[in-house]
Amino acid sequence: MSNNTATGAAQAVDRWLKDQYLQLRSGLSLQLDVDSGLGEARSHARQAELVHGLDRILAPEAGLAAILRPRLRRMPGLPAAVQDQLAEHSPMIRSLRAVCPATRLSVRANPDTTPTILGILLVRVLDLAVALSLDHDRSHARARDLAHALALDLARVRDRAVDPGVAGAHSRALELAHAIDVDINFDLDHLARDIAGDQALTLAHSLASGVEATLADDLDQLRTRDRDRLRDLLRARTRSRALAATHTRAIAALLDLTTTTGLADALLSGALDDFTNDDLSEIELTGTDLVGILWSADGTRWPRGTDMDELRARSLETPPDSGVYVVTEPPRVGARQ
Amino acid sequence: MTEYEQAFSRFYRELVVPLTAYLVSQGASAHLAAEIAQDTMLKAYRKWHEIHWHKSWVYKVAYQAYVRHVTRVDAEPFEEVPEPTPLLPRPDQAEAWAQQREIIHLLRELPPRQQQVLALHHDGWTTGEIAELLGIGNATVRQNLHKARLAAARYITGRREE
Repeated sequence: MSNNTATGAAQAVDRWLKDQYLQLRSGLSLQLDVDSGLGEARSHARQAELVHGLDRILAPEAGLAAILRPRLRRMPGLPAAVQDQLAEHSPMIRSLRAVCPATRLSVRANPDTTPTILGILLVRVLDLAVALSLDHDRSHARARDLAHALALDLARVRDRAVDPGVAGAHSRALELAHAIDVDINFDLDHLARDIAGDQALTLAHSLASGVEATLADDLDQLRTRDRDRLRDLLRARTRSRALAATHTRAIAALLDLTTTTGLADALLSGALDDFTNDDLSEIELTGTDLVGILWSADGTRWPRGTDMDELRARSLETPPDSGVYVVTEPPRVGARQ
Repeated sequence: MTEYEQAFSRFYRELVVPLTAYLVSQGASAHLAAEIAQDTMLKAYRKWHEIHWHKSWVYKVAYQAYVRHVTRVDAEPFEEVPEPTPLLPRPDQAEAWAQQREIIHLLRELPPRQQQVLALHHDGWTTGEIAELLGIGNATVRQNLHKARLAAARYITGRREE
């Protein structure tokens, strides 16, 4: 008896739901003008075919990219204010978006690219180490801001396979930012500041390893030196700035840019990695390292014959259900499951 | 009209309304749902020969577009004023009508996965088709459907008591 009642109630719920969905669909069909919509879709597509025919004359992809690119795909983990700043207000990001995808792919693989990005981060770590070495409260507050900004910068490049050491550097930067927060909030003594200073130098050493071996060695020695540490830190920072500037100029030349202003931030934000609206169908991708690039299910066009199942299997959808993916490292042959 | 255009026209006429209804049932306004449905159909038309399963493709791409829109709008509190479009000539009227549907009020109380499964089920999709579209197992589909039905029963009971 009670089973029958339960079944009857379940059927009543199903009937109610079915009726509600039917009402929704039939009501919407009265609101939607299907014929006009179809006409618009087909005329748009015809227009697109016409525009496609003008490709060679007008270079529409570059022009389109310049218009569409400000709507940069959102990077997970970045505050909205930073996203908007990167997406809407950077002329350099817009310039990079307008560079053809084949050139961007080739520049990603250039030996100058990783040292450029690591060099920019290294300069920021050394700014932080200098602030921690200065003995007054204002420098401490500045160190806190720099540590948080650095953790954010490292988060921006962490998932893009820029360098295997970046993930470790990011977690160290977070620990460092936390240590400085604790130090400031609880008004600890100088010992805490010294420990944070050592952490910053460890971080600087790991980043410098990807920029220049001799600089990494010098920073390693600095960790055990107490005298003249500030002077040596300032020298290391000057040298790092010069190195970062040299690499950045090399990248600007490869991209045919007339300025390097904003290039560092654009590289950190992944402007070279976003292929979510690009046509790659005519590009020879065999042998190209795609690890770290962003692509989308509906916007990226791949060469005919691309194994989409394999590509999807080695990509992470980020954020979930967004249709935007980042390509990850392929599984190593013989790796244990 | 070419064979390809005829095939697309049939597809459009058959699916643009259910696709819009699907997006409305996921929480989109009538105007946004119609805009995304139209944009997705346009993409499907352009990539017609590259797509294997057109129906699954448009449902998936449209839902992804909706998720992206929601993510973007979270940071931008100012909604655009809906403009009439060829597909939806009276967006305000459509929205007012949609907001009076009880199913919309029920769906708002469900988690996204249950909203999806329930809407697809009543759209005629089988459990296996839903599982494949959403990339989840058959058991998970059944579980979500069961929970959604329980929530619907509670909603109906609560409405009667009011």
